[in-house]
Amino acid sequence: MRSLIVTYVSLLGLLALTAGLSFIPMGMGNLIANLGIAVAKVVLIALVFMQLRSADSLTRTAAVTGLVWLALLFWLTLNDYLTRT
Amino acid sequence: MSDAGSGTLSRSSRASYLTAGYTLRSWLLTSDHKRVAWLYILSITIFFLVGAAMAAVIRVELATAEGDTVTADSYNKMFSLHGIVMVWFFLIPAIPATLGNFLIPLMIGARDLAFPKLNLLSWYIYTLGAIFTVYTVIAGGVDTGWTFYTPFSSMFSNSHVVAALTGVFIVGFSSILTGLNFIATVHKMRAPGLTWFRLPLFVWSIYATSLILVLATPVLAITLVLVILERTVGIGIFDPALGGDPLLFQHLFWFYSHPAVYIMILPGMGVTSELISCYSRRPVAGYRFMAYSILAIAFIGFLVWGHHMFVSGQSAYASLVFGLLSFMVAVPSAIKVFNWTATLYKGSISFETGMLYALGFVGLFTLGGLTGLVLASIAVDVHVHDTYFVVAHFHYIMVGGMVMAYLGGMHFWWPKITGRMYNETVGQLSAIISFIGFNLTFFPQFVAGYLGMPRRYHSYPPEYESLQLVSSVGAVVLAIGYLLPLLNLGWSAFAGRKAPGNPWNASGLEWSGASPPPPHNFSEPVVVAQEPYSYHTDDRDNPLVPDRA
Amino acid sequence: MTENVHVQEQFQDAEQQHSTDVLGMWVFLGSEILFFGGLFLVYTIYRQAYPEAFAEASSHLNLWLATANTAILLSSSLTIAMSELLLRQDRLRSARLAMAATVGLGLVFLAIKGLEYYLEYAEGLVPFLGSFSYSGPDADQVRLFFHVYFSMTGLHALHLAIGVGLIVSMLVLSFRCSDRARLERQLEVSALYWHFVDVIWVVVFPILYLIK
Repeated sequence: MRSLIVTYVSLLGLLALTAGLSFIPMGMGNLIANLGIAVAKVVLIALVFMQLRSADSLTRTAAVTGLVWLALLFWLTLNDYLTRT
Repeated sequence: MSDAGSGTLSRSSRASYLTAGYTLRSWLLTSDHKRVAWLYILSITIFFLVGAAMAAVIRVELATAEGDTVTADSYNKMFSLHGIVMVWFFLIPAIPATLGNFLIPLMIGARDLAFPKLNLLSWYIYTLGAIFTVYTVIAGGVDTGWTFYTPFSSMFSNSHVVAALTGVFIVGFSSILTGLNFIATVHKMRAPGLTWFRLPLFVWSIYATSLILVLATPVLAITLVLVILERTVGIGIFDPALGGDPLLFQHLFWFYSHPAVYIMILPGMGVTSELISCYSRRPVAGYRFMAYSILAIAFIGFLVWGHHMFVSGQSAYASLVFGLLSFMVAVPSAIKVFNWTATLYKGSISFETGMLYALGFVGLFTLGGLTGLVLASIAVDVHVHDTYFVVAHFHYIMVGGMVMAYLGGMHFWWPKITGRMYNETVGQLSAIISFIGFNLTFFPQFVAGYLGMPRRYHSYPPEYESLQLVSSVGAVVLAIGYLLPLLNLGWSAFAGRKAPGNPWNASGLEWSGASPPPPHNFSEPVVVAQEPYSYHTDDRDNPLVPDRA
Repeated sequence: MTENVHVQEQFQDAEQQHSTDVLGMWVFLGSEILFFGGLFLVYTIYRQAYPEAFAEASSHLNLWLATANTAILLSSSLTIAMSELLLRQDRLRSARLAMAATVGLGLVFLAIKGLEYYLEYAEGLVPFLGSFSYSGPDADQVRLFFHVYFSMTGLHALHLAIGVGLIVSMLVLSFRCSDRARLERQLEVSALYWHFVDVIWVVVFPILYLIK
């Protein structure tokens, strides 16, 4: 129960941080901060709430596979859009 | 109709899954994977006939250069519906949902799939998608081609695009759930002792196919939803007027639809490995390479989709990368062809129907695969893009490859599925006729395409007429080749000779019990202690006599 | 615990059944990642093509309501995780309360989302149904942003509604089914789905609302 609540409080803290940072113009920095915080939140939820912390390697693999394939989709599509002339 | 298969089996014989219930209800509410396989066998056969009827109209139209049989508009609808029906309602579910459903639990020593009710639900979802597709046909068809390219599909087509998209969207969920079920089953339900490298290659191939189903289909689903939203409420994600990019649709579409080709061919490779090994009495050569190359094909298959877009306006750099990656798929594919050949070497080969189909598969797949390399070469592709060369290429893979393997597999496991033997001579004849008919139909299209004849036109310059006529005549031969197994297998299910438990002297776990199997698989727990394909060429001493008990 | 537990016929024991169910849900979520992934790709492509228009459009969204909604969803993830834990500790009544709280928070999220949609409608920012009246710079691309915005948040809301249905059915199950192992298993699988919907929102929130 304790770890659930600690996680929850950290998530709310990160939310406050990301919302607050959006009022400070940092250019690219905002994008990086927002995405970084989002990733941190996702990792917290996945590890603690979704119990990947204590999961076996098969479950972890299943959890990561979707992300790897998403990366393939992004990689090869951006490969086109970022090299258009 | 669904319980026809069980109708004449004598009730006095031992209980089988076919005799476990005779009512329609006992079939429609079953969660037995063997019965769900039957639901799919009947459904996809119906859709194969529907798709074939459309192909017949196309071939009649193309027999002459003038567009005289149907209007240009009807012709567009014919090839669109032919593609939609054949791809999503026949080829994608063909082997996984029929042979896969029936065989996976039996091959891995499991009592059923991991989620039997979900398996039945998948069939109902398939049926719901099928209803939308049938509605599309009745309401007047769709003319976008099976690829639904925007902005034509989203802004201009006046045909029943939304109904067609909805049908495909729904059937996608059936695919995802089937794939999920197989993945969980193969991971969690294997009998003790059945390690990954003791699995038959058929199980490997269905597993890899399932990965593609689960990881590629959702991207198609969201893409189709976006087009549906654009047509119905006007959410114009791909609308060029707002700065949207129709080419983005193609990226998303082919992220699914290229791997979908491997959904169609990988199970065929699995079937072929089983057949060639059994009928040449030799273990599959390079088993581990075969397993790894199945996974490699499934993975690399995700990285090549842009070769469909060489002339669509993607960047030259992207084309280069996609072209290179496309060449790489040829490596594991070649390993497979090489190993099938090596399996035959010094084997004790016999030419039962299944073997003829399997050998046909290897030949046609090789030709289809090699012409794929031609299409992956950017400069050549610019010349033959959207010509009959492409049409011939993918029919060699999907029809020459997949349908040959499907029919070969159906013949091979038919005694297990129905407990009856088909007529061997008619079977062999049908394999040979469909091989000849197939080449007659599609080889001329390579030539026509190379000479520059574009696809998807209902009338064409007369210099292509002789090639197209050969193709149309070939289609008649091919149709005979497909009708024969339908009659042969259909007849034998009622009146064929009773089949023994293991008519082919085959090694897989699925052959260990009675034919047809009892309703509950493996009442005695199974422990596996041997490698797959324990064949010996001196099995010659126990020749393959089908009635041997 | 494993004795007098009903195991479905295809499984050997309760442990196999449990780990298979969990794996099945994770595979499904992997599929869902790619379902939303298509939309994320669309978003990325258009944002890198029209950064100013996307920033402009984003500034018309209601950041406060969305932040409150994020907090609500995070809270609901906490309550559903608590209900799992409470159930394992055999505190059925508290577990039910936590489930009910999850359902309540989910409904509040949907209500606030509905309010947001209404405010956007009133401002003429709904790009379909003929009500789009934005006429500032880059009007077309701003409209494109709202197409993406409505499909993303709409799809997420649909998933959340399904999640609410799932948790309600778990509540019903907790009253009607005496097989505790089954309830635990199904609640765990439903909770995975619930957390996933939360995860999607955690990504959607900064990319739609926090562009400057």
